[in-house]
Amino acid sequence: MNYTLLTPEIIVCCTALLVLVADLFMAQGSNKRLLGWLAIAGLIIGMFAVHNSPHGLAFGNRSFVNDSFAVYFKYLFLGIGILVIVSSMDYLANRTTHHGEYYFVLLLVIMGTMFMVSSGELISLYVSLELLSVGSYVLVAYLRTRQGIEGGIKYLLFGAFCSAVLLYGIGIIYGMTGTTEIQKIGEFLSHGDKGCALLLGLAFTLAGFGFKIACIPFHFWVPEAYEGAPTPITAFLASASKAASFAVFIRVFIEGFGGIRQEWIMALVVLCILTIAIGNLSAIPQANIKRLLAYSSIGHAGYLLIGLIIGTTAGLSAVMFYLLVYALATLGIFMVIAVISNKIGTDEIEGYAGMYKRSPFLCLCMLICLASLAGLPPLAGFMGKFYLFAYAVHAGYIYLAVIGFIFSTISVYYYFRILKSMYLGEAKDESIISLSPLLRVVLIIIMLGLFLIGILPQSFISLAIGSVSMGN
Amino acid sequence: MDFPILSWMIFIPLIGGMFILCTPKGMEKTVKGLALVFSFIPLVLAGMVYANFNHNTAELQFVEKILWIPAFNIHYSLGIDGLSISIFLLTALLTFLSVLISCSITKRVKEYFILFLILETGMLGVFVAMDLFLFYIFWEVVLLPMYFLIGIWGGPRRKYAAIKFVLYTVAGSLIMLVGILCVYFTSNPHTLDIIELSKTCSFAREFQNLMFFLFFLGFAVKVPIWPFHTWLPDAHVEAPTAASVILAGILLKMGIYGFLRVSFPIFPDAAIYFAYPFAVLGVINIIYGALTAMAQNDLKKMIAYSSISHMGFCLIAMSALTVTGINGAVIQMFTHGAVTGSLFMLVGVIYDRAHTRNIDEFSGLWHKMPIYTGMMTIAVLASLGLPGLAGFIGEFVCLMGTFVSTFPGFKLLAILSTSGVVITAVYLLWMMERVFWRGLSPKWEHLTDINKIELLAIIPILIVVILIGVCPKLLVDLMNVSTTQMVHGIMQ
Repeated sequence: MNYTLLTPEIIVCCTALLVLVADLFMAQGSNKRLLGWLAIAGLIIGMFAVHNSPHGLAFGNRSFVNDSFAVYFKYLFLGIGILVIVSSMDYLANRTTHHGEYYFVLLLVIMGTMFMVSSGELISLYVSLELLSVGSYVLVAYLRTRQGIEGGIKYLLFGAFCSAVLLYGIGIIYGMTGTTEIQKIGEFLSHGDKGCALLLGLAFTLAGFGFKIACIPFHFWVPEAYEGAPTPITAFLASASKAASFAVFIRVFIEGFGGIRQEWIMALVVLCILTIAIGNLSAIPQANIKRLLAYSSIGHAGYLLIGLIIGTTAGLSAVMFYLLVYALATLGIFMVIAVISNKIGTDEIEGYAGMYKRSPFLCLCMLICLASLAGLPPLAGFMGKFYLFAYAVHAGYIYLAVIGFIFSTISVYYYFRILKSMYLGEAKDESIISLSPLLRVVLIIIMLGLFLIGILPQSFISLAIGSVSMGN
Repeated sequence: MDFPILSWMIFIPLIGGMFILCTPKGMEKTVKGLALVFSFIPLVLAGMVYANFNHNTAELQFVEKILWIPAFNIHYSLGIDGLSISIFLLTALLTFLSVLISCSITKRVKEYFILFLILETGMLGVFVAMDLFLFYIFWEVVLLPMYFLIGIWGGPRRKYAAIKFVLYTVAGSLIMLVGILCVYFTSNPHTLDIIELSKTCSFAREFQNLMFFLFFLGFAVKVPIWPFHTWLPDAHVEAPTAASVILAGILLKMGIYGFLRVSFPIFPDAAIYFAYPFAVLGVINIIYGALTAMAQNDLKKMIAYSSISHMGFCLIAMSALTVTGINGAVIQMFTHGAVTGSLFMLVGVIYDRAHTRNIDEFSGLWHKMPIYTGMMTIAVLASLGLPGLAGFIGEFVCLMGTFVSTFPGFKLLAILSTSGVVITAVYLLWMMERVFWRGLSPKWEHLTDINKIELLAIIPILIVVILIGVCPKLLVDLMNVSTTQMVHGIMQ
């Protein structure tokens, strides 16, 4: 037993409880932003703890593994968590009085993602995945708006179903291999007997993960949940939740099922192509910016699957790099959307017409983040695509790179629709949209980050490559 | 030379853009002043590059090379040689003059000049980047500013034209990116250095053909080569004057330059293999462009189609793979940039006053605008290839280069192409007759002649046009050694 490995998770958990208790003692109508600051402080301390936590196994078996792979993602989640809370503090102010519970659930969900990337074993993986999921259902419906509840219910029904399927898959795999430890499954499959029941287990697990990363055909919950959720939560779902799911996907499929790659690779290729195509095409006609980004996030999940298909260290490092730049740009966009919707009260793209007059700064931020998502150089998103598609070409999947590029062109079209509305449209109302200094600083950091990663990517590439190594 | 002059040239406009970004609202004079200064400095530096440029070597000059992204062996590598110097200098000149004629704009001044300066950074970068990755980045940097320049300051159908421009260009360049990746992983050792790739070119023939095709799609959209040209008339008609000048003067040349710098030297076997289809496309461009131009009533659209026609000369000249032909293509790049740049500026002048570009509505402008008519006559005569003016040199050398090609049948193509020259003369002179001669219609009594700022912007470029026309040696000397070596490398 080595609990020091769990320090970051314990800190986040304690912060969550602390926030909940502190909320009880705060008078009605007092400044609830303090709770947000408390949560941020907890996450920052958590980051230091991640920095100091040793690598190794916490419980002797592999139910909690702290390796460089997990550490990379924990930094990412804590960083995302901080940005989401920064954005939430303004967003919640006029919408609800129940701040304590919101931060409590959000912190638990962040803890869930941290446990997820550390699980080297299917049961702990499932439990932490549920921690993430159940919290997410609550958060999506948190504001109890009509769309929020619809999104939450849809997410819950789909999620519950897919969790059950995943659990069933895990059961079958356990039955066939006699172990739930991912590494041992890998060892078993490299020389053991592979019955066709195992393929069934494989298919079920694929469906379970496919739901979480929102790939076609498990994506139906995405537009509603993204549209209905409070915007900071949408940002969280699109970045941290997706990244965590990809992390476990990688762990299970590369470390566990890497030996029977030929069994699942074609299924993944088909899913990947469908996801890229349908995600990007469905984004074109959307009038609601959150729905548009929901479909675009499905498209990005498709690009990320290319890295999994490549499956080499280089391919996986490309996935990790891409997740970083994708999360950064996505967070930036949703933070801008949160501020703007606070003012104009709608998420329709038409409402953004002439926004450049009302807040040049927010528009610039949106421009840079969207250009990064669209993969225009010299921004980080371009480097991410270059990195990913380069290794796709290297591994012989030239057609996947070509498909990726074709649909990137299409994505340029719908991202530019937002820009067109903001910069080329005429505003009906020209009141200035104000912005808190904190948000302004955070958005500037995000923009600089996108430029920095795009122009000087080498250290980030090295970091991603260094973090691919799983196990100890 | 230790002073990284090329880097400074590229990034000074960008720094200027940042300065303008920081100016407070409402200081439009300051913004315009800053834009002028920051586009003038690269022009001065361009003069220094010209003065220090050595005509007698085909090696890269003013080289800067730093390892940038070791993971992909990508270098920040700049350099200039005979292929790029002429168009590089023209870029600095045309951008400055475009900023000068833009001083009359009043809508969203700050953004306009920021975008213009970013645009200059991208264009200058494309012509000196010697690493495919860097080349691609500068290539794409041009995109966003141009989108906004057309989309915000353009004509009535600006939104449509802007997104069409973006989608065509992005589609082409992403296909090119696939090509870049394939080249990187096929080259041994993996490299993206353009010069190294062209020196050691050892790719298999089939691979070369495929890659040539991928890069072709990327460059063809920019040139534009028929049938990828449909974005150009739309973009030109809607774009504001200065953006049109840049679009016709520089952006189209990026495509031709791409062929000369990347496709031909790196895939020489494919260049020979595709010589015929390439040349035929060139002839189609020439004749199709000229005939379509003749049918236009909109002045800008006419010049846009004439650009397509003139780019055709570059294409056939290149495909001939003779020293004279390549020289012709490079000269045509420069002269067409100068001539068409001045034509678009002049059309902008009349549009500012009359708010129409419809040829049929004009008549007898000569009576009210004598100086303007004189300028226009020079530009038009240069464009239709009157000896003694720049346009003639470009077309003549192109046709001569095609004619002396050793490929059988190219003589016939050259003869076919000359018909383009004739058609060009027809529609341009006809346009002059309709717009300027004839009797003055009373509708245009109020027109005033060209003003001083406009003169200041147009005279330098016309001087260049006449100078090159009278003394083409100035231009040919710059490139001759480089093109000779390039053709030698390809035909080996």
